[in-house]
Amino acid sequence: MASRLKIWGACRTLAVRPQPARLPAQPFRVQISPSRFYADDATNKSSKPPTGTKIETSGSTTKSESGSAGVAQSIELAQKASQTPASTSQTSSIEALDDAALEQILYGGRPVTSQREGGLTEAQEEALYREGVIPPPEEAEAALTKSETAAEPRSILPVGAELQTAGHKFGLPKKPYPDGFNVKKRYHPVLEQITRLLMRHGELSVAQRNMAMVMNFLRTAPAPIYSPKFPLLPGTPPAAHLPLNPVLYITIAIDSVAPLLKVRNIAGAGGGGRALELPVPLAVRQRRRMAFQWILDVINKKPSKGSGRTQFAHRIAEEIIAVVEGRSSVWEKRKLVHKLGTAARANVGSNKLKTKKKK
Amino acid sequence: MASAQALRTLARPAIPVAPRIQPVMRSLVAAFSTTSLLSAAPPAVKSRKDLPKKTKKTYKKKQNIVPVKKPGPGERKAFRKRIQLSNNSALPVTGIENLEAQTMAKGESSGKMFAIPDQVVDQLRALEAFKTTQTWNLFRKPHVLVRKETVELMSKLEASVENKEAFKCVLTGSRLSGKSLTLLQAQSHALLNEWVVINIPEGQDLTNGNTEFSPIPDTEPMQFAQPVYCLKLLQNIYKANKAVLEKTPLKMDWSRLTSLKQGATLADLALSAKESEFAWPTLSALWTELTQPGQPPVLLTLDGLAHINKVSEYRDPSFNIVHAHELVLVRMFVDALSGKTKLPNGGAVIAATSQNNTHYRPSQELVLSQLEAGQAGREVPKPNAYERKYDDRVYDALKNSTVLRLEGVSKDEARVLMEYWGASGMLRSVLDTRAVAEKWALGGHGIVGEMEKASLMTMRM
Repeated sequence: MASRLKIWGACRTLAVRPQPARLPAQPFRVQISPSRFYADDATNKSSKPPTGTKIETSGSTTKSESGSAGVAQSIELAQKASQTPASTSQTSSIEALDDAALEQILYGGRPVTSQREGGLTEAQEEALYREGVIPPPEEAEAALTKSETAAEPRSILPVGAELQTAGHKFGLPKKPYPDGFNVKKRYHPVLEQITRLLMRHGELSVAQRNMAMVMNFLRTAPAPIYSPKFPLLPGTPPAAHLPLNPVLYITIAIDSVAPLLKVRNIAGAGGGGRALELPVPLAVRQRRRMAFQWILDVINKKPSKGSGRTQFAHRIAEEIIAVVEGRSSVWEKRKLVHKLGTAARANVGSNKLKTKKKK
Repeated sequence: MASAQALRTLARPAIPVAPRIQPVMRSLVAAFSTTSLLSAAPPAVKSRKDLPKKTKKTYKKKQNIVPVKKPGPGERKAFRKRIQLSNNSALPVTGIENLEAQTMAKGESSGKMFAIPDQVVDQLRALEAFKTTQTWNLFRKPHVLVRKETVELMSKLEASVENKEAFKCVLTGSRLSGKSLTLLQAQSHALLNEWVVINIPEGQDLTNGNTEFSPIPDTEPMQFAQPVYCLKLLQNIYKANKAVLEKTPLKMDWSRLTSLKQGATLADLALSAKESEFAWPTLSALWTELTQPGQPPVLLTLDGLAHINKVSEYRDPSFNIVHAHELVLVRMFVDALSGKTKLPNGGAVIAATSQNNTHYRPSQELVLSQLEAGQAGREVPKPNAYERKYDDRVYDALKNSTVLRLEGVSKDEARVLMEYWGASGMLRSVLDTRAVAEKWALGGHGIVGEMEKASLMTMRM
């Protein structure tokens, strides 16, 4: 809980503080559009406040972007925050917000771990895999239908009816094919990414076998015991639901421990030959990659408990369980990165960047 | 000078003394002191190899080696070989009946799942019937699918008790088609019907030279017992068949072997071997008892048939190779399989071939194909005239058996199996005709192990 509180603390100072004086000269902000920062921008979730995991990143960027029109999220957040009486005036700092109020704003008043009997709905799971957060069921449902309707014209459209139906039951897809066009994906997106990360020497099928073993190990392991000290993704289903859904298990573990930002060192921009530490938000895939690399680092240092080819898979599975139960050292790494990011938050709209860019 | 010479002549006899063998002083010195060795010159440089080598200096930082508790001896193997029969995360499947004595022999239970009763599970575990490669660890409790071939086999077992004649059978079929599992079903059927079950879990353990062997005196050609293996087998037999053995009295007098009291049972006989020297004589005595009329029927099973039909890795004292059939335990099995040993109470001898862990045995292939063709009424294949490695002993051992071939399950059986997987929570996809047909086709037309691979052991869930 401690790490998260500190980050919320960061949000308090960042997200809603108006900075009219610094608005005009911000070349860096102009250059980096918000679309570069958000992998899940395509989903257009501007109408609702972004849920917990992303709020810090949006906070750190919106500080410099509060003037630009495209960033509805921060405005929305500011509006919501202003509705609470504590932060109406600009002089009374947002520090006055207590944690309960923040939780209300960030998570929409949902408890961190959901107590719902049925676990996640399909739409929620889908949203988790796509965006790395678990929205409330109704919202997830709405997003799913929206994306489906959006995807429909893209999929398979007979162009000229007579020409197309000749010999084809459903017609041919329209050319040119859009990016990443697939009628069906063979593997789960999260699994696909992780499998390629644990591949060694280019042996993909070995990695896939290992992944399958990991999932079987998770299925046979007893349900994890959540640690209150290391809260998982908000909306995580009860622990009993995880073993029989290993993909969800892995995703929850990885997304919970994933860092929200990384600190980029811009050489020479710090003044006096120092590097400028610039916190940069990460997209979902980047976050997952980072988290799994950390997990792999831990695994590679761990000794095997037995012999044979199942050992690697066993170690991975044990580490995933350790992450969910809060025993893993990966949480420390996340904490460190977030601490660093918070400390360097003042650099986000730095003027030094301008001079650096001009050189 | 002259006077001194004269004195010496006085003191000594004039006869010349035989030259004595004097001890060589240098070697004596060398034996008691190392000084001369140490002070010796360095070895002569004869080639470039003798030159002192430059040791490479490494500037690499030494890694912090964290002391890790190494697993104890045998711990890793135990971890690798452990058999896990239940998974508490899996959902319990309701509405499945337990196996009963006659269940598997009845035609109407074909194509249904049945739970193995807990007591039988323990017995099967003692017999080492479960294998690490089978997926028991995914499910809450061991269940088996009774398929068409199972019913066929079990009814043959039933018939053998009625006819008082051994049913000799070889299970064969493609890889992962369920041969070992059918063997397990036969064992559970026998256990439920109070037979005595003797199981040799892996044929290769007997012939790959990994267990001790000792020649049996007064045998020509020399035969060999495997005392340690026999002792373990005896203990397993006792553990698995305790109830039956305890209520079966001995029929013969074994006083020359052990000191058993009057009215001792087979259990006492099995337990009387405490040391490995007496294991084989006791096992042989037990086998003789079991082949007497009036005793319970016996099921004798072995997995990995090809391994006992080869020349073993053992050598006799004059370093000649030993054929596997010269090992008495193998011979016991082979005699039963060939019909040389009669089973007057009925019972069965079943051997299963293995397709993963096997090697080419021309005689075995030939006789099995001939038997199969004969059973199906096809033309019997002839031996290959150019094949030199035929083995008559193998041919004779197998020629009296029947062959039961296992291949894929039917689509209906596949559906039942997949419904069970789904009910256990292991199969998350929607189960319809299409899904069943897909997995059935992916599994090589219903080869059970391949279907498992395609649906349970995969990244696609």
